[in-house]
Amino acid sequence: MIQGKKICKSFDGFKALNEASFHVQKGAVYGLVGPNGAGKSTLLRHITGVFRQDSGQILVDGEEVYENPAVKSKIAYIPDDMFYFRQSNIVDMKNYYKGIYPKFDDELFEKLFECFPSIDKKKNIRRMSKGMQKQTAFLLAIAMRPEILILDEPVDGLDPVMRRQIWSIILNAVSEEEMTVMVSSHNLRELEDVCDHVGIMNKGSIIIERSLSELQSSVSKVQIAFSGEVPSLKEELNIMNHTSMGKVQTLIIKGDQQEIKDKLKSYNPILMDMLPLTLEEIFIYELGGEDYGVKDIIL
Amino acid sequence: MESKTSFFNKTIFMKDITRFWAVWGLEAIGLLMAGILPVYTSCNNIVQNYSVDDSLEAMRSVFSSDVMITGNSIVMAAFALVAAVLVFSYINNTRDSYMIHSLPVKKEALFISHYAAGFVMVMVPYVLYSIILTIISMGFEVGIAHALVGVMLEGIIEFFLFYSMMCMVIMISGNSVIAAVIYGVLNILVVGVSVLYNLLSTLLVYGLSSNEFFSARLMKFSPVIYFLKYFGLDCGDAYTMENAYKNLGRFAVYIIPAVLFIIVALYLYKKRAAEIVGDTVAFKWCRPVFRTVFTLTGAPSVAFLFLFIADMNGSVIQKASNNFPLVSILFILCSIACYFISDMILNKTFFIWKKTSYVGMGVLTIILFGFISLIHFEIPGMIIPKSEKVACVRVGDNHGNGMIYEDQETINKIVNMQSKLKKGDDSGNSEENDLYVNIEYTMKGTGERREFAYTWKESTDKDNIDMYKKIFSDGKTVLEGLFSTSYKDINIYSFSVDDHKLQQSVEITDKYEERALIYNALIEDIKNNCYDPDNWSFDERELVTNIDIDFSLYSKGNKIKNHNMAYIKAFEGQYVSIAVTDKFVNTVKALKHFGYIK
Repeated sequence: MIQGKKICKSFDGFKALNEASFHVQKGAVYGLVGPNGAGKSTLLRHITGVFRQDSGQILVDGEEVYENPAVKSKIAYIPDDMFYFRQSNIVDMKNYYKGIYPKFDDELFEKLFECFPSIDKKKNIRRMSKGMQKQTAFLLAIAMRPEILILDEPVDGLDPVMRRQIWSIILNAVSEEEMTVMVSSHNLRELEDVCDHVGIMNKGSIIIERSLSELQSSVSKVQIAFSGEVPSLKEELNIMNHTSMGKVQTLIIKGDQQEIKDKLKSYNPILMDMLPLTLEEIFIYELGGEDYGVKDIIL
Repeated sequence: MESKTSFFNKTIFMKDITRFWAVWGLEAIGLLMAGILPVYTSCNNIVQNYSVDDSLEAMRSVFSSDVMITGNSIVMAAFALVAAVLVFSYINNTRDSYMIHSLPVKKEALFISHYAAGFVMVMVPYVLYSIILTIISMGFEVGIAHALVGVMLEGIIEFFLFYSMMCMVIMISGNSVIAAVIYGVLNILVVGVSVLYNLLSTLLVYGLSSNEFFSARLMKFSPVIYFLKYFGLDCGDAYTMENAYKNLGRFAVYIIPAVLFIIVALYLYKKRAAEIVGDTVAFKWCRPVFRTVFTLTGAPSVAFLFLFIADMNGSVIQKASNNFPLVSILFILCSIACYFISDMILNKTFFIWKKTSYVGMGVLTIILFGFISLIHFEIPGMIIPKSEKVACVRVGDNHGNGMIYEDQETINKIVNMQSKLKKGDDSGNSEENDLYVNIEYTMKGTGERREFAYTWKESTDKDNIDMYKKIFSDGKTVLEGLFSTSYKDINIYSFSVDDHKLQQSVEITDKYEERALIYNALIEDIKNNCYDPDNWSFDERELVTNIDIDFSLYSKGNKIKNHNMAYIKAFEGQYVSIAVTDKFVNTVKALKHFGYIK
């Protein structure tokens, strides 16, 4: 549904996007993760047609996004820093978006309003708390009945109940209407629960793009212990990280799980345990390989 | 929903109208309270308290003052700035810009919808005010309805031009404050440059006291000043429909640049990247333009500011006058400073020493220095004009008398003399026999004036004085310079003679025969070289009387049909004061005959 091909973008000589390529399928919940300054928000702004790329293509259903109202009318965007007119309440904003987005659904808007009981229809949105403003943004975005929902740090500022509420609404729309969601967030634990595809971004490029299950199965965390000397495993296995505590070695290994298991068994360990990796751990270890890892500092 | 045309979005348009209600609301209230009500109450008072004959003129004056306040170019330029900054405020705010540009609306539709909203919200109250004013004028039978309609249209055109210009400037800049400054500078740039040029040339060129080069021919490029000259009601009896629309024609011409501004603004908006929010200029090509204009206009401005501030006791400017090396150093330093400042503004940092282009700075400094040099070395035609471009020249002294010439031969002589003048001695105190000379050229076509003033001391500037007097050694030349080539038949308003018996000046304007005889005798004496262009280089004991004549050339009939307009205008309200000495044999005889002298 959304395809990016070798997107490049520079700001005053600084390369923010460096041949970034990605593909988001229709109906997917795509998590875009990366360190600070990786270019996630920049990429999202290209997808929503705010920025024009220096080179490359961004296509939605085969059409360019930039200056294409037909394509942009399918996209609802909730940025990290939201925009509301001064002196506007939610009804004013609703009327505004209704006049611009052809599919804006009044009925849905009223129905969704019941899910957000703390929003005051008459109150100036800018005077609301950050969390309330976020709720307002979600309400308006979903009521637009978008085919694509782009979220940048979406649940930042929301209480746990509202987070669940919002994800429930989004995932409902995904399952019933095949809405495509692209979400950028640093809250990887939460993303792990909702995303089915993940793109890891670093220094302007998408370095890994896979379904979550494939990603989790492509990296293994193994706790292993040997009775005698620890064999040299680096020659045969793609070890991303190696720590030891006494005789127990904890290895993060990239590769097929079964192959890793078989290879390790050949060394006759006295103990071997394969543990599931969280998305957060995958993120840390993958970027550790990109020279963006946790550094030990002695103060 | 987007309209079928797809170049206009009603939602965006209405949103601007509703959210900026304070602007048009205040404007409407202001026009009502300060425009409509005072006119109505004043007219009521006039009708009750004035006579019929006077009331019409008085009411017209009320309307005239009112429209001047509400619709003059400065007011319209200010409204244009406010409206444009408000409706396009989103493009200079990161958050707002990102959100608006993510909407499914093409940039053309965004631009046109916002533009239309700004235009409508300022012009609707203004048009309503104008209509109400016209109705009031019709109710009081003032008879200027057509003129008020004309003025309303002029006001609309003014706003259209300034608003389009400001929208274009906003697209060039990434910052509302800088946009407002650029807009203000653009409106006065040409006149400002001409003022700077005038100041510079008067500083560097020996004798130059006033130079209208640029200003007359290019004022049209500073519309805020040009419009001030022509905007308003002409409520005199001569005011006709024809005059109303002739004046409107001057304004209508500016519709073309206004439309061009819109086209350019739209083009720039489409090209403009969303990420430049907050930058001084939105496009890379604007940066060298900004630096160049800032440096080339800022350097002379700063230099003159420095000179005026430092000139507390009047000595600094005198030292700088005609002092090319000193002025050059000052301007070079100011040029370097302004270049650095422009780069600081562009890069938004004080520390630009490593980033700045010293080559660019060098080039601009050299250009400025070159310009100063051109002025100082009086490139032919730039300061002292080429004689074939001169319509007429006025040569006068500090007592008010002037001799005016349009014949090429005399003009050539004067221009040649000027080209050969040696720099006079400005030092020391003035001396008794100092010769003060003013030379004022009026140029063909534009009618701009260039004035030179010289003070020559007999002791040190004899060469200049001799060169000057040689031109006026012929009595007929002097006669025609004083009274024109039509000296036999001028239109005299006032003719007076100092009567020693009465010890006062006596008017003999209406004593036609006496006047004619005295005047004829006078012109005969002047023809015979009795009049000295210096006019005061005679022994006071030789003075017999003074004859003062106010006159002009006949404007009707064939009397002056062969003369150019500048020459005729120069003689409008001309005043000549002749100190009659013993040498004026014929004049003295005539005066004695009529008993004005013993």
